[in-house]
Amino acid sequence: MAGPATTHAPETPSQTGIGERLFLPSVVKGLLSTLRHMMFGESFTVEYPEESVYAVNKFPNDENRRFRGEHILVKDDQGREKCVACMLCSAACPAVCITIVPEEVDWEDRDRRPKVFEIDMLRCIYCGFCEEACPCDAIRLTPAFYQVSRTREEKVYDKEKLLNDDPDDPRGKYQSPIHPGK
Amino acid sequence: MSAPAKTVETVKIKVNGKELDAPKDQPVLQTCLDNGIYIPHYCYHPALSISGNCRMCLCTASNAPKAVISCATFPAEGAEYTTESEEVKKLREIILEFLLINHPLDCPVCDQAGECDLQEFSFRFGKDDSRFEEEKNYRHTKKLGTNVRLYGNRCIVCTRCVRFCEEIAGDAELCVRERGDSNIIDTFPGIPLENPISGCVADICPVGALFVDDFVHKTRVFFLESTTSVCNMCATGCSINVDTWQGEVQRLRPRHNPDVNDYWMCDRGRVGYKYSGAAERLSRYEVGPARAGSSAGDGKAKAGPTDPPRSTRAPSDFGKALAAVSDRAERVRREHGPGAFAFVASAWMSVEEMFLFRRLATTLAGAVPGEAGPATGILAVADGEAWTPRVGGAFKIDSDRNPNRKGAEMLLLGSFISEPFSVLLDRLESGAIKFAWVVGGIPDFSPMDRFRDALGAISNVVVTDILPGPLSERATILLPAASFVEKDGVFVNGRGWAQRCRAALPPPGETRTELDLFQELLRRAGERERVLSAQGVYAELAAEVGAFADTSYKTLGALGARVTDDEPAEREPTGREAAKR
Amino acid sequence: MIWSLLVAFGVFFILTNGLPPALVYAERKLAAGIQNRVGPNRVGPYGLLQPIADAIKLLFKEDVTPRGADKFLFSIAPILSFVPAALAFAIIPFGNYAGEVRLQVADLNVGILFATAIISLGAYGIAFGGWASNSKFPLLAAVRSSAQLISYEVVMALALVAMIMTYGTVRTEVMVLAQAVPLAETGPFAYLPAWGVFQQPIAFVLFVICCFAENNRAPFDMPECEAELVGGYHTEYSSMKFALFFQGEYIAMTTMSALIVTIFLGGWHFPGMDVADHSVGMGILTILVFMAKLLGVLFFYIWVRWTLPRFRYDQVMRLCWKGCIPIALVNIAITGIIGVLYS
Repeated sequence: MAGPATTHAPETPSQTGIGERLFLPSVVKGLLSTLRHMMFGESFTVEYPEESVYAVNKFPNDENRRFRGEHILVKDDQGREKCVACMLCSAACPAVCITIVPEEVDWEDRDRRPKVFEIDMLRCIYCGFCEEACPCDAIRLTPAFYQVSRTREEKVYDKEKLLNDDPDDPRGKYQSPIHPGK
Repeated sequence: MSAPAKTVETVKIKVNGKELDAPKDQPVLQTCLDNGIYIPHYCYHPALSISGNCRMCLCTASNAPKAVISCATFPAEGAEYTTESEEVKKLREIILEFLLINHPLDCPVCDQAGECDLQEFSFRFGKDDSRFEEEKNYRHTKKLGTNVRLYGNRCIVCTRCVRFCEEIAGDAELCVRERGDSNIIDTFPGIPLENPISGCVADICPVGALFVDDFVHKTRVFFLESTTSVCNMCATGCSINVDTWQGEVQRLRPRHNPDVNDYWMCDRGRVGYKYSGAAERLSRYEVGPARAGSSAGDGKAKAGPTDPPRSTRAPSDFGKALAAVSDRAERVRREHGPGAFAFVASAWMSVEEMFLFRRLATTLAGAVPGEAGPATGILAVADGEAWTPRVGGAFKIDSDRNPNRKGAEMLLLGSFISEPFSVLLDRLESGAIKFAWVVGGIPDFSPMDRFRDALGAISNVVVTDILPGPLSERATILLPAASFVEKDGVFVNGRGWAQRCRAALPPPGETRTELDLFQELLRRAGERERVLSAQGVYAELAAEVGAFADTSYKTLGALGARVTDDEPAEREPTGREAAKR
Repeated sequence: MIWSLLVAFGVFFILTNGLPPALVYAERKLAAGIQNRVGPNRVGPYGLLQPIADAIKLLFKEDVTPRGADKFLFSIAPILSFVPAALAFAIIPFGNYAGEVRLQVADLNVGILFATAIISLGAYGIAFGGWASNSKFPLLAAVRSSAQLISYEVVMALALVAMIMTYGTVRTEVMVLAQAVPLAETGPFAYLPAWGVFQQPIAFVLFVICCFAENNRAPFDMPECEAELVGGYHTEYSSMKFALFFQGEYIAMTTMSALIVTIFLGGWHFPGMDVADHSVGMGILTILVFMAKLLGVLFFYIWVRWTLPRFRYDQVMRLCWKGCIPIALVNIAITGIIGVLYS
């Protein structure tokens, strides 16, 4: 077979070897690689309705935390919301899906918390800006992605729903490993 | 602004190589600010005496060996000042590092965040780190008075608030307590901060230490949309900013207007928006049947409620309600002539509304030569207590609680209202009046009993009002009105300054502003071709009413203009000028 | 006669209705395996009914002819790409004899020439389809495709010339018989059959490359490279017309594989078979052998597609004109010299 496949890359010694120039050995190497995957490779597919992604863990990167799914509000070590209702998340939100009404509280370490904290999951675009904007690490996006509800109202998550810390809940189990203090 | 231009003695100085004419008795800082050279500052406030404790405005001067604070430096002929150099930059960084050592950095919970000078200067001029490793000290958080709250931790002790209480409010309730890094703003024991303009300390506080209680933990300032407007709570007519968010007024802030309120406004005015967002606001047009059996010639209306129950008014809409008004007016005019009409304006209307209402009265009632015209009058709330600071400041609170009494006098007295209120009352009670139109728009208004009872006996009572009350209860046709945060118009304050009020929000529900309402009625009567904006109506008014001639919305601008000559126009001294005397 | 017709019909039926769906299924499953996925597994057991579902979906889709398209050419293009591919299969001997029945549709005495001629016609389907669509991407695809097919036909012909010189015939049946002997009388090569791949390895490689190129298969799928040309020449096609293109592609792939098997891989023969045995059993056995080889080549087709990335267009042309053609010419020269020396 003929010469190098490309003339764009600068020719380094490794590229000008006879094997590279002939191209065929590389093709064979590639074919063997794909054959290996075909014969021995394990499928990464999670067969969703039958298999639950939360139960099955096919990924080496354990909790695939980079996935941006539904939110949780993080609790502090005393079980209170870490959120101080600074509203930076709702300011950052491009979908305008976060509604916060602050209220005053008489706590030792802070005097403000959200009275109402609602996220309209139907409007949310899961961009993660809220998580980035949060100065208190109080809102996080979890890998939870079940978007099932019978009514639209159910998809407006209120504070109670967002503060879920049930370890069996797909969102709740991502409640923070607790960071003390503010 | 007819204040005669005083000849100001100036000297020539150079700032950053740029030559400036600096007034001799004005600090370099102010000269720089006036000429577009920004110097960060905390403790300096143009209306207060110079304190020079924040050191933020340091600059270098050719005639001083070390850096000087530009707020307390008065210009010397030929001197050169530098505000932008490596040295000044370094100085600012150091000052900010010092100011921040005890600052809790709790911007997420601080309501100042977004309009905080500490935040902004740290961002623009500050260092990105701090070398302070010790414990930050803790200072008290407390309510200084009914209205004002102090977050001591955030305070940088610039003493603007202390000076304000001494020089403007005159009661000097605040002081600096303790020494060194634990010094803190506090009230003298047993003397809370209770002067009627105490809320202003929150406005002048450059950081998040002082707040008006009403605004704490309400929203974030970066969400707010500001509309320049004018306060409606008294005849002082302070220039204000109406800050709104999500269709609600969040707070009112004084706006600098040297001729009216300087930098200040009173605490009463500060919460004067509350009624506009009340849940019980009238927002539905309602039309009921004409009241039968008005005891003609009875002389005295019966005491006690003679109202129809509210349910006799049925929900209607703008068009139908207006049709009902003109139909009934038409009928009354045919049957009883113009003498059976009564029109009662309010000192809370804008001049445009008064102008239109005046015209509407003649249109609806018509005029028959030789017969008595319609009865006319004006509603106003009783005078409250005037307030003048014990010492110093020029900011006063008018005893007149009506925002536009002056405008009403200029527009309505003589031309529209030619008889005293008692005559109106007599005519209302005489039973000859078959059609009365009362414009309310005054929150918490309790009319005198005679007026109220007389209304209850008149067959057609049209009421334009904001909140349910004695007036709306007696209406047979109820027309909801817009409050001052929802309408455009001009108000003339007690000293004759006409200022523009701007709509910050839409009126509630299906309400249309009175401006639309009056014009639409006039249009249906064939008196107008188009429904104009407030600006258009004002142009008509200016063409017709002498005092307003040569003014327009454009010339009124943001600060307004004086439209009367009957009081001295001389500007009263501001705080610092007064303090200097 | 009736038997020959039956054979022809059987071949046509399997070729058009049996193989493409199976190949689609196989392609998707193998691709999934290579990419560590599962592949179709929802329709029927192991997703076996997926091709049928696809077919039904295609049948019921709306048949859109774009505005401004040349209606006649637009309609005829899929047929033009489908028919020649199926026609060329006529000369493939897919078995020896089953009794009296010759397991070949037509044993033409110009066999290979017929095949190359007919396969070249497939280019018209693509060219017409692209041109008639009145759309820029199909047009570009058609232009690319024409240039590519013409270029690689040269190489293919040159590779075949070497094989014709080797076998001394253009009849496919004779070619198969010529491969049904040991490679050498004695020595280590005596255990190898005289398959084309052993006699002419260079021609084999060239021919395989050409097959990929002629079929527009990866890594030579210039006419339909999604990244540049949306869907390629069939961007504007839908419903049955698209299905015909699709089917034509797989049939062409099958025909090409059959040619490879016939010319280079000993056709229906396997070492140890008696070519003179014309029994029905042996006939069926030869068909099975042929099928096995065919499937092997088809597997290779799929395997390559999901392994190698697409060439850039200039690379495709350079590979042809500056790589393959000189090598093919040299190969012919060497073949001629050896032929003269040994004759």
